[in-house]
Amino acid sequence: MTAHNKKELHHLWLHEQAAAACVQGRISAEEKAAIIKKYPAAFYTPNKIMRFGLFLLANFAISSAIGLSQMVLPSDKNENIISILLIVWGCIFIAIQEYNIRKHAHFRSGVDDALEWYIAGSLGIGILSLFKLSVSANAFVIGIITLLVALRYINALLAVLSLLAFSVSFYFEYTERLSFGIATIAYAFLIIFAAIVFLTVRSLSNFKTRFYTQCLEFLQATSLVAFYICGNFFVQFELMAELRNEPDEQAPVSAGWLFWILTYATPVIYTALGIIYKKGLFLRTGILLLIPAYMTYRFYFHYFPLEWEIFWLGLILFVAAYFLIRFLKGDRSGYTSRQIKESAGLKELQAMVLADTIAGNTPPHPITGGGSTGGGGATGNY
Amino acid sequence: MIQKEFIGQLQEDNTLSPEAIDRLRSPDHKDFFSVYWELEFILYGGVMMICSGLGTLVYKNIDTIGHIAVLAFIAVLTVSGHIYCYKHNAPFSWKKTRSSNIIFDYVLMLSAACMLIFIGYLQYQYNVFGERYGLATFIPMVILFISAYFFDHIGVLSLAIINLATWAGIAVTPQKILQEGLWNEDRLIFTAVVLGLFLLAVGFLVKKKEFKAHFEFTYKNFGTHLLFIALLSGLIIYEKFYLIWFLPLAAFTYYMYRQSIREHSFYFMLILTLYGYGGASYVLIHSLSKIPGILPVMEYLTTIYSIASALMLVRFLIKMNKKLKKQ
Repeated sequence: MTAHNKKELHHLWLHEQAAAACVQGRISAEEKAAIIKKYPAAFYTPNKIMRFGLFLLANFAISSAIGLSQMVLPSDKNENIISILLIVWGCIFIAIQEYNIRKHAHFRSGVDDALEWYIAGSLGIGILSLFKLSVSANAFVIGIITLLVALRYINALLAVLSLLAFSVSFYFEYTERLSFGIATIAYAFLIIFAAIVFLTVRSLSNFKTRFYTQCLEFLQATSLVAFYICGNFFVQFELMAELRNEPDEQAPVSAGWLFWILTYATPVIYTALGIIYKKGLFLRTGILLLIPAYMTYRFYFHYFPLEWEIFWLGLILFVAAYFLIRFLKGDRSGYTSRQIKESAGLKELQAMVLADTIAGNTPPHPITGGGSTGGGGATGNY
Repeated sequence: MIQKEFIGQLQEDNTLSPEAIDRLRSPDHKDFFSVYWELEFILYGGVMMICSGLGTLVYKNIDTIGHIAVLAFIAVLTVSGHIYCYKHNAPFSWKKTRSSNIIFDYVLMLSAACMLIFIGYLQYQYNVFGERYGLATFIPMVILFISAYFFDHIGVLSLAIINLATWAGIAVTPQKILQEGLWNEDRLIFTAVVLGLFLLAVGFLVKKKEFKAHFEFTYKNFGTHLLFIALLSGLIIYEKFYLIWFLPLAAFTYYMYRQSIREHSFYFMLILTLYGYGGASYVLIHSLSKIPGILPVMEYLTTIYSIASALMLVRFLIKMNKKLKKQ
């Protein structure tokens, strides 16, 4: 299915396994280097910074090329010509992508990332505007196209888009075709996303799916978040009711208590599973989902002013982290608070966001007229 | 997760010694799981929430007794945080010193942020610096620089540089730059040029003299962005004298190119490419548009130029990536 060289992909997988074994302390850095040397992966894969730059420039070139082709068409062109042009472009992009992969071994180079998005986008928009389909059929077609591109070129984000498109298609089919559809759609999605999480957990330890590890991880993260969204009380009783144009009391989801439990229990369960089974994805998702859980609570209950709550929560988080770090000092039970990988530029970024936060909460200066960094009350206009 | 097929292949190919294979297979081996990033996230979230909460609390309680209580609390946080860091700090050295743990980093960041809030409100409410508003940013800036060097903290150094820019009259945080775009005032552009050059010079000096040589990246990063944005702003704002601005832009791009090659920096190679491309494209399109009778085909020429130049830059970056990797 994949266009990339399978032998090189296998070598890349060996590198990933070696890196994981090295982090776990099972092999030394020298042994890891020996593995990488013995199984070279001759892909053109630049580092993340260059990949980002190449992605931007390739995007610019491709969108300009599409723009130029539209400009040379007669001004009285009909819609079908544009659709066909987009499909032709999609085919040209496939040819370029296949050539780049075979001739230059591009893999996650930024250029191939951009091409993959344009392949899916041109073919998708071209086909959808050529055939006037229903919303669910449109979503289904997008799901199929993005899935095929994701499988062929191993693109994790397109795999996520495919899952979301299929979910939209399922939503419309389920709610429109079944009389009890609206009342039970939340439960159906809960089951589907839980099943996807379960399947991805299984597949991630399967040798046969080793080339698609990143796709599976992204799908797992998306499903974990989607499961939470479907089980969130606020989403079901406020947002969905508003989408359906119905007041809260008439919201079709009857088991409110279940959604209250899911709103608060899901992040805790994810975090607990992450800690017990040492699954970083579960742990990080669980911690992040504590934010919407708090926001849901805040939407319904206002016991204290917001600034007090934010301050106390911040203090609790800080103190909790302090004791956790002290607890993990001796690398207990295989957990450590030590840094495994250096992160360049993170502290600068954190300081800039913090400076913006302080500026945002500083009252305007009587003379200079605006909040600013540094608490001095000055802005760029000062 | 280490898969058995991986171990099987290494064994079959004799890639690792039998002892290493045993280590890979051993069920007794304790696999380490680092929660460093999760703790970083929680600590940083905590600092942000405390600062947001405190900032709003003081603001809402101005002119009440609660206001003074909150201010006193911020002062206590600032002082106690610095005392904690002083007690847990590694002995001072002009070389890089490792902080004892991540708590230390964030206690210092929180204390620095609290100090900024405290001094800011002292000036706002009690006008302690009178009409000398610059002092309200100058004093925290000096404290932040001393703190950054004494405690060896890149985050606090970044706060100090941001404060230095604020003192000089320009906002350098990403949010402000994105909101306001390029600078359109003479004073802002010239200040940014001077400040950018100053930061680059400081970065050069700290590395050469080994005064915390690892701070060089932070100075250089701020300096490079400031100078590039200022030169691009000048190029666009001073339309009639654009060549006067383009020459230093080209020279600086070339200088950064040499530096990136020497230091094997992918990051600076990318940003010089993007800023340099922006400047060169502006000059080219601007010059083309002056040719009489060209306007009807200008749209086509610009689009063709965009395609050709972007493809050339893609090739350039791929080549540079290979070159930097090889070195």
